[in-house]
Amino acid sequence: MKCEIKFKDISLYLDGRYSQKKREALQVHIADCPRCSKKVDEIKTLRASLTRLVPIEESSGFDFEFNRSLDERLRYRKEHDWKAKIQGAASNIMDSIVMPMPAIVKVAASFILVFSLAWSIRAQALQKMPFIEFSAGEARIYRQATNNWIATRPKMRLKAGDKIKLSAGAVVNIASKGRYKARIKDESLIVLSKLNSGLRNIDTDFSISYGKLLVNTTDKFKGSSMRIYTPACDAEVVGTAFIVEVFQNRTWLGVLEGRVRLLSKVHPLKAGSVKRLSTYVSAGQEASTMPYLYSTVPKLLSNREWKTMLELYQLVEKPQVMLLLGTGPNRVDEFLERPIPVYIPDAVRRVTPKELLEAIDIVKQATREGNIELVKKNTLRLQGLLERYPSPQYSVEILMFIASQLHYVHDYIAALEVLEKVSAQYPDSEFASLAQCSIATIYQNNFKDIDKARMIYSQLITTYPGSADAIRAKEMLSPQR
Amino acid sequence: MEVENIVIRAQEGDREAFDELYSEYKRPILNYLYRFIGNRHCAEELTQETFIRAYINLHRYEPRAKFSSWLYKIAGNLARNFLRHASYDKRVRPVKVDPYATGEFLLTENIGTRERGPAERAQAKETKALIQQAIDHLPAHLKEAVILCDIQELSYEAAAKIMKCRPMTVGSRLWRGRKKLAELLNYIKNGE
Repeated sequence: MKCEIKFKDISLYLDGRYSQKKREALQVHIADCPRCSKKVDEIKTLRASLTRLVPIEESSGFDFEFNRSLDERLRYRKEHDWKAKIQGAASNIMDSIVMPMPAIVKVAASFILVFSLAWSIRAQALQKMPFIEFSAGEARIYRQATNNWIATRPKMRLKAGDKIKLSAGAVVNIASKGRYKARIKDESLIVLSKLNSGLRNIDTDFSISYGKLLVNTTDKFKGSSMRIYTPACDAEVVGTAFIVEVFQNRTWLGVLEGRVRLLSKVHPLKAGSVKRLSTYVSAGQEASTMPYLYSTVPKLLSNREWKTMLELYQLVEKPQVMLLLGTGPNRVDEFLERPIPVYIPDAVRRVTPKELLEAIDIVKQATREGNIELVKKNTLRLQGLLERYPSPQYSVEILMFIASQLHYVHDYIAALEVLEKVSAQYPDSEFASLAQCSIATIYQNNFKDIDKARMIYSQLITTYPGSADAIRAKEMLSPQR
Repeated sequence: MEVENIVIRAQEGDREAFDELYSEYKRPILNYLYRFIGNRHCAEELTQETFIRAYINLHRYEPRAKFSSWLYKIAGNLARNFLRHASYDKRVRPVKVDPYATGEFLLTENIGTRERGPAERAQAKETKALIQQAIDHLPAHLKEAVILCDIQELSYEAAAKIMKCRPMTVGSRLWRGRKKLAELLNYIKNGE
């Protein structure tokens, strides 16, 4: 007969874990079975030898060592336990705010705190992400996730890799709240190739295959970056408003404010290897480039181009009348060359008296017709209206506008009067130095009074040493002239 | 009941009360750790660490379980971490089950001195070294059961509380530990 009893059974039997009945049965079996009784002996011996192991005693100095290390550890914790300090301070504050508070309320409050914090950080990050503000005409967007072209709709958030395709006559406005606004127009294919959002800034890269992109950045853009890749160049933005147009691989860039760096790719045969040549295009200038060719030298925007650039101001409206002028040292020439265009945003239009706006339109019309009498009459009326309704939003700008119109119709004396008014009444405005510079230029060119001109130039250098017009004045005073 | 009162006093910050607990339990913990690890110096270090942790975390102890079980739990965790540590193998673990070929600590350790006479003492010493070495070769969970039930002579229930398992699991680990130990010590030839 084969014995079915296992090591496990004997071990548990010896430990007294079996019921009375089973124990008795095993007892009977063990007495008969020599194999099992041998196992019992073995386990008993093992147990006995384990039990007989004499406990060791701690070595001398053990207690002393223990007390020393405990004290040391406690001291260390006291010094380094900043968590406990913060917790203590926080709980003190909590206790002082709400005295007895159940634990569940505390837990709930901390959850709400953590969630609201996370939510606000997320909202902050999302707020900066560009989205479609407005779209008209046939505009479609390709998204890799959906893998097909879908129609654009407002409030759609853009992701890196999105392609936007517009048919003729369509417009899509893209906005990154507080950072920049961009507009895609007409027949265009533009890819949002990169989109990185930091805590404060946002880096956006667009690639234009063909079409037109208008960008206007705001003051908060500082620290963010934007690059625009076209078949012919890369344009890098330094806080600015500009238009990029790609037509049959030719890239045209017009800048209204700030400046844009244009990196053209030069053909390997011309430059040894593909080389990037950078040109800075400043405010009021335009440049164009073709693939693998040097870009054209930036030159002043033509009148017709100015008009197209006006659209940029519709993107980011500042509550301020704008004179469409560059900011460089040559702005005097621009200012005196033609009747300077003025742009009145809707925000200003709403708060400006109607008769003032009408008067401006009449002056514009009269200048266009070359009706000197009408221009003189209406500029006088406009000056009267400005005195009646002065406003920091437009006073200086409209006076400069008047001066420009008067100069254009060759009424230099009246123009001088207005310019002197600007430099006397608004010495802190950004146009004060321009007004002085214009006065000097008028004396020099139209009255041939060089001494008077030189005097005003040197005055200008001392009064506005940092301005762009001072650079111009220094140029005019230099001995070569 | 008396122990619980001392614990409560210690929890209130009474260092003397903690010292009482320390002198009460230091030896069982030391022996438990010694059997677990097989190295006296490391066992002493870990015993000190056990009591330091107990002191720091005394506010977390709830008198639902016995204080000693709580201490054993801390010590067991420390010992398991210690054994898991990579450097352990190089430092203490004997490589072969051969008392004459092992590191000196096994032969110099004073495991038991109940026997009289030089020959008997040498024989006993050898056996005890062999037993400790066999214990060293058990997996941690079997080792824990053998140490608690057979060496420290705790009941299944008390051991179960320390090992965080059911009493029958202790029983099963115990018989498997014993079997393995017996195999290692050549009490059983060719297994079951």
